Amino acid sequence: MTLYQLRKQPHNRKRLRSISQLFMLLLLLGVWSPLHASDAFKAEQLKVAFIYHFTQFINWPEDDQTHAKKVFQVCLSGKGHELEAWGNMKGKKVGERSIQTAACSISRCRECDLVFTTSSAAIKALKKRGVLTISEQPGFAAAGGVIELYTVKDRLRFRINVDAAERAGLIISSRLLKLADIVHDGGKPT
Amino acid sequence: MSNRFQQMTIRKKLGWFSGLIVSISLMLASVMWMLIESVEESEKLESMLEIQARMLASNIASTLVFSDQQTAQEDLASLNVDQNILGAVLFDADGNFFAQYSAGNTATEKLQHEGFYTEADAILYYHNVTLSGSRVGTLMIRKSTRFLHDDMLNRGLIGLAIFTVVLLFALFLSRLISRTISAPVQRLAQVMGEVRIRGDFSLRVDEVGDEELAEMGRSFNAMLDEIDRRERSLAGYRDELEVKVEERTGELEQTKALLEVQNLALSEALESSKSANKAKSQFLANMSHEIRTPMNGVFGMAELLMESGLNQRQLRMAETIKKSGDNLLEIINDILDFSKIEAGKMDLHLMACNVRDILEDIAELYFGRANSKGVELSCIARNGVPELVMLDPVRLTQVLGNLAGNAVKFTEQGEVVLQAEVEQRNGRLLLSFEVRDTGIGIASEQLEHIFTSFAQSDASTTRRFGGTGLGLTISRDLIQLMGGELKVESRLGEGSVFHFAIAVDEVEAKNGQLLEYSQDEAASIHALVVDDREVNCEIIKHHLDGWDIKNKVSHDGHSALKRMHEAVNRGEPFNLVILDMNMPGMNGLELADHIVADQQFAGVRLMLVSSVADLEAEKHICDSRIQYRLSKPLRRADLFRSLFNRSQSEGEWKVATTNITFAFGRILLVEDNAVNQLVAQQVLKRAGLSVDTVDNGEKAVAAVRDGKYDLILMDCQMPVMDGLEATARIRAYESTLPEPQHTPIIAMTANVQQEDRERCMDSGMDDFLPKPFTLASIKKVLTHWLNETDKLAEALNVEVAHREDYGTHVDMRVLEEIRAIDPECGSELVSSVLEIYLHQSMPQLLRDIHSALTRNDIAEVAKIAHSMKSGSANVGAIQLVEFCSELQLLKTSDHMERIRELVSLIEQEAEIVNKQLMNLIKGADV
Repeated sequence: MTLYQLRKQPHNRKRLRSISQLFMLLLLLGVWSPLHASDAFKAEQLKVAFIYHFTQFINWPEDDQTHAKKVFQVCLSGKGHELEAWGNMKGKKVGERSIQTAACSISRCRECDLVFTTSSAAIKALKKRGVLTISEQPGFAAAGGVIELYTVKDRLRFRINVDAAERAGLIISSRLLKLADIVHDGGKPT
Repeated sequence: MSNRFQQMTIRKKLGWFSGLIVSISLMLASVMWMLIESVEESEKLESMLEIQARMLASNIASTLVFSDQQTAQEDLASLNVDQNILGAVLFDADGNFFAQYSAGNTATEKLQHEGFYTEADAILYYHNVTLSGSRVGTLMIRKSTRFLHDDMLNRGLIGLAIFTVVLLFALFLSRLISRTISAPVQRLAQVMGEVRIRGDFSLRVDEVGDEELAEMGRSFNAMLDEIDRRERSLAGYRDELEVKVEERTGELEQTKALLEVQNLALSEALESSKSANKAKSQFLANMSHEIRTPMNGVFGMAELLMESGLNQRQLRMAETIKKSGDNLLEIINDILDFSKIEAGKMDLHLMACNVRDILEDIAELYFGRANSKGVELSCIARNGVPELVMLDPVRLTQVLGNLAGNAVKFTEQGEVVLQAEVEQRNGRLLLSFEVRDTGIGIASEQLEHIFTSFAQSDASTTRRFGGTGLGLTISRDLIQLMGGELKVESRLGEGSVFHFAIAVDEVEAKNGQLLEYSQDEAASIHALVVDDREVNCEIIKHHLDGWDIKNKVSHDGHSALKRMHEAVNRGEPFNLVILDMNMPGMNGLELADHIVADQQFAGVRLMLVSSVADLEAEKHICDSRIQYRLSKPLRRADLFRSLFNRSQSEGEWKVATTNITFAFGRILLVEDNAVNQLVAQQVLKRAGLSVDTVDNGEKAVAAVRDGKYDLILMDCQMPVMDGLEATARIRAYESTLPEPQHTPIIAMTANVQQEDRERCMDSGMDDFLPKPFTLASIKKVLTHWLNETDKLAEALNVEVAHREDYGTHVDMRVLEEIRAIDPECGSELVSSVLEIYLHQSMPQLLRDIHSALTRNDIAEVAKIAHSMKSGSANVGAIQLVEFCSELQLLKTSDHMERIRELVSLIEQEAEIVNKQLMNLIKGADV
């Protein structure tokens, strides 16, 4: 008996309806989760790419210390990071330095060149010389973080706090700046 | 057009030339300049475009990586400052469209590899956008090139304008310059023209201006001076000349008069000499006749005188008269011929003749004379000499005879060779003759003189050799008449060579080739030529080669035998040996002995070449070992006939001479009795047949199987297999052949009884021949069965001389018959027959019959009696024949007494016959 034929019969129709609803629900669930899951992964990947490209337009201060360093340390603090997405960074370099990724808590992060954090609380601790601070937390830039990522209409955009960058000794290329929303200390965009 | 150009003045030409040069140079320069410019411009454009792209690319990279299309678009828009840029497109890392700028029409762009691409009015440049070394996208800028073309056009126009201006300027300048060059040249030309037209040599040219032109002017003036001067001197000469001419004319006229007088005198003299010549010729013609008449008288009378019964002394005198007459006639003939030639009265009578015959005839003519001096004379007409040519045979014979005669005359030892050969020249046949000798030779100083009339080498030669000395002169003249030239080469003491060649026309031989043979025949002969004299070997070899017969040459008996052994070992034995009789060491017959004695050489045919005058050979001329006899001088036709077993052509039948063997029939002789064999063979050979002999019937059958015979002579009674059985077998064999064959078999029998004859016929024989043979009976049988009527008859036609009976014991006529078989060899034959009979046959038969009688074997006795009868019949012992006839009929023991009686009678008679025949042999009368 076909579904259509089943539909024709009145008592069967009701039953069919509930069955199909259940079916759809299951389907959605089934599809949705991995999709949902991959969506998140992809988003993270995009952020990773952006962050990598940032490094291509930013110059870190050349102190004796940094000179000696052979590794560009990327620190991921806070929760909710998709660590797997950061696998792409393996093998890439910033200048002469190979990128290394590590997850750590704010207090414990040492020798970081770049910190990508999910918590806003640690901003003060992060304001060190030679550290590029990036976060998605709204108001991060106004609060003194260097780059703040945000999404507008499905497009990933970013704000740069030029004062914060200057304090950190980071020199950002105009080519990057022209693409960003410029923010000063105090939160006033220019 | 070119004519017009050539006729233009120098000035105009120069003008044209310079104009042309300037134009071309300028044009070339302009074009090149323009080309270079445009190339530079486009290169500039490209580099500019590249710079623009690069700059933009580095700035725009960030927009790609951060996917900021808006900013990218803004960046691209910055290109609008350059009005020539038509548009730009930015592709992302995957090649997809990212951002665009367009100044006018939007065209769909596609991604290409980095580089320049040309379009109709634009140029495209693709550039990879990179960030930190890796490609993040591609930038394309399209720029218009139209402005380039416009620029070029502008330039062209400007160039053209400049070009025109410069050209005009150049032309103007050149005109100015050319004037300075052309003016003096024109002046010069003008003056030259005037000089030519007016003939006025006083004109001169100005000598100013350029070096070259001034030089030309100076030269011209100098030339004119010279001409002027010569004119004047010429005028002077002219006058002198006229005077001289007049003088000379006068002289000439005098000479002319003199010549005319002389002319008259000469023509008179010519007339008189002509008439004198005429008189001479007539005189000659008359004299020829006048002289011959008394000469005939002298000859005729001398001959008659010689036969009129003179005594020895008188005979000698008469002979001398005749000889002197001969000599005189010879001299007179020479003189007459000579005079005839001198008077130009000698004509050649051309007719078709056979050169080879002429040559061989002359050789034969002088052979005897040469041979008696121990000088070898040979002749050869080489292959290639045609059968018939047009020439005067009488004169040719005269010439060759003269040369040959001289050669023989003046040669004491060695050889004389007459040779004729032919070559093609200019489409005609050149027939050349050569007479070579190893005689006393001629000294080089004398060579010129020998042809001079009446001269000989020196007086002593005349005394030694005689002769008029005219012969050579006449020969030379005759040869000249024939169109040739007599040449001679000679060395004193080494001999001479006389040579001449005449152009002749070949004549078609009507009878076709007389000497025809098949390749198989030639191939079947492998000949060995043995002669110590090289020239003879060469001649024979030449003939053999001409007939494609394989041959080898040896110069003496020993080496010949060695050669023959080697040949047998190689498997290529010789089957014919041509031997010269006269050889040092081993002569021809001795060599023949060796060959015949050697088993290895069984079946080899022997051909002996000897001279008739050769006394040694004459004794053995009837030697049965020699199959062919050829006499010298060797005639080609004779050699051919012997080699190929040919008979002579019609009308040339020669009756049994010593040198020719004909074969127009192959006979198988089946006979066991030696005497009979010999007789039969001789008869058959005499008739020109080739004979194979076997001594019993079995062998006869085998022989027939082996080859075909034209006739078989079969004895009826023989051991092993008799004639009757053999005949039956042969007939049986013949019936099995694919083609029917019936060889005539003639029974040879001493039995004349009817029943015996019938038996013979029944067994398959065709005819019978009673023994003993007579020439007549054999002739009859052969003519009947061999179908050669008249020829054969003639051959066998011999008169049988009658002799008195030698008592009743021996009938001489029988022996005469035998002798008549071969007039030359007959005596020998008879001797041989008698020898065999007396020393072989009879003694054996008598012994046999005696022993048979003691055994009382009557059958045997009868058989022996039969044998004895036929043998005795052959030698004409008629009484014995009678006794034997009777005896063979007594076959039963009843007649024992008579048998014994007859046997003793036979023995007695045999003794008498023996004595008589022995006398015959010893006596020279037979």
